[in-house]
Amino acid sequence: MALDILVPQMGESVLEGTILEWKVKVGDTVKLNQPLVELMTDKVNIEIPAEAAGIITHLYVKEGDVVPVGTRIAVIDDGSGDSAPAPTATPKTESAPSAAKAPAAAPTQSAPATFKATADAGKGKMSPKVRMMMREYGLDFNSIIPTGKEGRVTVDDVKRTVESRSTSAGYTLGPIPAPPAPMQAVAASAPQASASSAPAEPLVKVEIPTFEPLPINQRETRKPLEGIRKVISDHMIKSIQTSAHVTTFQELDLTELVEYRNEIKASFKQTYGANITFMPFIVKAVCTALKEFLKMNASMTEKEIIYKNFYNIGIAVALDDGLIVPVIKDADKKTIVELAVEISQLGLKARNNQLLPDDVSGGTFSITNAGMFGSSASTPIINQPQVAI
Amino acid sequence: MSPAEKKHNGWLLNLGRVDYKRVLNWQHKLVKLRKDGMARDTLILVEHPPVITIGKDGHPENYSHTDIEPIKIERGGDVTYHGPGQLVIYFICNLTRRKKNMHLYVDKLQDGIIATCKEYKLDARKDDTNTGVWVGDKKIASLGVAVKQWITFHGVAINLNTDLSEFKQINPCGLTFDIMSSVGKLTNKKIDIEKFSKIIVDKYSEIFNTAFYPIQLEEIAEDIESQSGSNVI
Repeated sequence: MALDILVPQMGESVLEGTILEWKVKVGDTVKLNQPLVELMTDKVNIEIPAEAAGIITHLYVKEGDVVPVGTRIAVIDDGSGDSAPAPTATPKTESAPSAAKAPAAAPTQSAPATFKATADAGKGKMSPKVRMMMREYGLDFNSIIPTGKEGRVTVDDVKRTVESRSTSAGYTLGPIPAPPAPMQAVAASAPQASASSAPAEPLVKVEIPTFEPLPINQRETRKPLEGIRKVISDHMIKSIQTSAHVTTFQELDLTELVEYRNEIKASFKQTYGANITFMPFIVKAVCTALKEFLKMNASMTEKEIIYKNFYNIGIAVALDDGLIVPVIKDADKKTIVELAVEISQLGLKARNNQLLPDDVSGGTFSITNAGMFGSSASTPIINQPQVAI
Repeated sequence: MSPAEKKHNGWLLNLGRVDYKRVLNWQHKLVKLRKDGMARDTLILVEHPPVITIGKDGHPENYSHTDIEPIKIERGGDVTYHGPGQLVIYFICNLTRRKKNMHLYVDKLQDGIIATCKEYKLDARKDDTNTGVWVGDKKIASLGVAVKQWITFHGVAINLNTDLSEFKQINPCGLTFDIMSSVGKLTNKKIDIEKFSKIIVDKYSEIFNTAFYPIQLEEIAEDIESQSGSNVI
């Protein structure tokens, strides 16, 4: 579908703007939000970004032209089906000084051809992640059968295509070849052929070196297993022996939570004196889930399951030499603010070795956060006698 | 819910006197952070040591007789002078949350100054042909804005106690230097820059429907540094 790029309103006394610099040319493939043109008025300098990804099919004005507000200055074809306007289309504002003298250069031959054909097949709709994957795997749009809503190409579509290619053509998934810069060029130079005909003898033969062993007294350092390290070790081993551990992973889109938390971060600290982390939100979500899945907020003996009708949530806090799990009592009844402040206080007490026995007992469910170490997933061990973490 | 509760939350960085290029660098980083949702709409209040800047519409004849090496920047407008006694307000504002309305944004920037001047019994106005804030035929505030990815930066410079003779070395905004005046000169008293700042922040808070919470640069330094890896403090 053709999308008009117009000169925006820029101020009460501003009726026109000067085209300062085109950042694109006809035939260029542009990404969403990519700067298209720099426009200047007497007081405002504005980079107009692309409202959609697609191909630049027309530039109606040239650098230095003065154009009235509302003038159509360019057209992007987002590849969603409808044809672009005829090249002879005139800007909406009749008085555009350059309308007559800008007969809109024809799109270049090669660039749009690939994109358009493929866009028709997949409707051209895909997330940035999918686009990135396609580029990295050197996939042609035509080679993918989109199964997403409204013809969108999904991550699974890409994976399926790559897998089928690897089985049918002996293609290896990794390492991913560095993609050539323009998207169109990737499809043309997809690396299947070279990948399947790798030479039998490497160009460079690597000799594996051997090193002198360290002196015997420097090879190892031994320390007695005692104190908190021994307690943790015993506790974890006992837990593994007590419960059959099963771990499952789910991906959640927390974009809005991340944005919200970033937005309130500074003022929250100022207002409540505590950092707002993601943990209070997670505690709240956990409590809600536990009320739905009662078996998760329980403990077990050999003879019975003890369902807890209260929600004391333990939060694992890493210390220099170990791990401790302070407990938020009645977490389900507390607000996000109360949770944030309490978590902050408990964390501080934990790090200062000031936790009292009551602070670490009575938990009905635990949360551990390996994300703070940069992990994307972990397989935590249940804090007995709880049944889940 | 009362109207006050519906306000957006914004940040306020009151920097005091800081070198122009340092603040320019922070502006660039904040624009990126704002775009990524890692910063809020942010008002930056600052006073600069003497500096001359040239916008995208700079004409060499307007700054050819200055001794100071001008800094070319990406804002709109021609040449201007910043220096002690002048309150400079930069606003990092996401226009996508404001219907991408540049028209309204530029108006509001000026309206905040006009409303503040009213508290000083000055009848300030906008001008049809020369953007900025005027009292009679004297200009007290200049405006120059840049927009990237619909995030605004740069903003307004309001002469409070500015040494107006400094404008002699340029043709400010392409006008003659003697057209420039200051709130202090027009009210015949020294303006308390902190008091003026407080009033204008309140006005902008109302006009942009945003509660600006003061923050320290240190609080966002980590995020700012992460944009470049450079040490900014």
